[in-house]
Amino acid sequence: MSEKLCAVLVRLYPSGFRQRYHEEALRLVMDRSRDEKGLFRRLRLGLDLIRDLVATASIYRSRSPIPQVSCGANGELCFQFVGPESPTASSLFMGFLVSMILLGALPVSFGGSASGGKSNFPRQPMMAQIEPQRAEPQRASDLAAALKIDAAKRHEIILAIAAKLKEHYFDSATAKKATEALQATEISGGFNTITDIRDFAFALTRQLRKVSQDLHIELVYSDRLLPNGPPPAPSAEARDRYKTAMLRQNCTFEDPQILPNNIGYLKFNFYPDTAACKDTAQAAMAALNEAQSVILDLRDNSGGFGNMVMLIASYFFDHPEYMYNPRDNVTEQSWTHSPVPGTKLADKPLYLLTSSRTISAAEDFCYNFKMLKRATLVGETTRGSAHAGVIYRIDDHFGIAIPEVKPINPYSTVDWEGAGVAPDVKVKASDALTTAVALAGKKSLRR
Amino acid sequence: MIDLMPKQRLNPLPSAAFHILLSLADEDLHGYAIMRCVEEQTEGRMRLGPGTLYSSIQVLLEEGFIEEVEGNAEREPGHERRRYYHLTPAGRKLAQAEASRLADLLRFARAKKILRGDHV
Repeated sequence: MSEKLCAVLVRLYPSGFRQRYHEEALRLVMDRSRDEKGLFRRLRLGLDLIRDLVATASIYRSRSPIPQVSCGANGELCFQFVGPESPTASSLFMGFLVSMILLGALPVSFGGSASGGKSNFPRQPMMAQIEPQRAEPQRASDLAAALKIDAAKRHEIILAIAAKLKEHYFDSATAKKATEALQATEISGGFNTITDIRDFAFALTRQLRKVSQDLHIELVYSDRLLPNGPPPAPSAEARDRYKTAMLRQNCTFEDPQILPNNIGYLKFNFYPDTAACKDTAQAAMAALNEAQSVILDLRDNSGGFGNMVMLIASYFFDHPEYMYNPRDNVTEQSWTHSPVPGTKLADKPLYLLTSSRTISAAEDFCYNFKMLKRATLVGETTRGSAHAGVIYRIDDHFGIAIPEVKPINPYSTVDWEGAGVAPDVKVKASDALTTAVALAGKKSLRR
Repeated sequence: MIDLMPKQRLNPLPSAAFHILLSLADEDLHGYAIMRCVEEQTEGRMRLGPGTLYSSIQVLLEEGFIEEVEGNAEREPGHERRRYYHLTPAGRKLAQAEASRLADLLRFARAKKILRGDHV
């Protein structure tokens, strides 16, 4: 229960905080729960968390005047700030009450994992888009034993990885290099001290990524049974849940604004599926239509769907334009649907704000606009994650995510995998908006 | 409205941010190690929760006083997802300035006989 309970507690934090630090916050709470045993220390931990929750809510309320919500696609529990006003006294009381009830259960729930010292629930894979089946319930002692890995199993997994990489990775030289690195570490005894199966998965992922410089390679371990074959298409109900959750947070689009000098400003933190968010995106773009220049704020954008990349890109060209996507081979979907009827943005100066957090589909957007010289990128070099992985099953619980395509890039500059997309105007992310506004203002005076 | 001016979020320097800078003076640490280090250097009086810790880290990162660095996998096998933080020269200067300000304050307190002994 411990990791689940920690996850519930972390979900009580403001969405703006969780969006960036969910994994770290969860790890910190779990580290503390692992190290702080006994009734007194657990109660102290609970009180610390309540105090921290209140302080954090206060920080994020003052930092984020624009409503910002981040719920999971499955509509799971989350806090929503529905407006810039402070939460009401009754809301705070309810939050306090829920916290107390959950924390009341803390000492009891954590007791179950005390003997093992480790969580009963392994870390969830970051990139695996899998809907796995739940394994048969196991007793804690069985589970603890199942999480141990010995030399023979380590060797077996490394062999399987070598075979899968050789068969599926698009760059055979890199696959060979990565495999040899793993084998060299194994021979030198570098994995001998790792006996926890989850630590092993993390260590191998790290080494594979280090050698290949490809952030989408990942050795995935799941305590649930990995499915045989590709995951089923989401049900109509799941799609509805996704749509409802996205619409509840306005598809991560913040309110478009017109700044001085008629500069249109739009911040969105994800490229959601157009199946759910097409209308929202179109409405946001329509609000910018009369602007003399446009700033798109991608500093907190965590990627998303290629169809939304194409939809937004379409507004900024007067003819269909090819958009390179390292995850797909060239199809008719690789061209924008330009010109968009009624849009006046096709020839307007465009500025893209970037940060080291800008990742994946958002980097795709930045990369293409930079290569096409259609936008000025202002801010920091983006994160550097380009390739997508397909999960290949190794056994019931291990799988490896391998990018299997490397489409031809029409530009002479390599894509952003590992390196990120460098800005045209390099400033700290926190200064990017001010800088872009100044640049757009100067340009507007010259026009 | 959008705030177009850089925020002066570290003036005055919050206590949590100062302790985080101090914890990174000797070595790069990840979040949990920072939390433990701060607890130790305050003799248990300050235990940073995840919200306070990472909100402070975020501001320090944005202002360029600390930076993310790759962790040492060999030192902690299996912990490669942890983000480690490194004190930048600007961060060290800020910590020095704050320490100097506090030292002045202590000297003043001693002169006023509020505080006795050889604290400074």
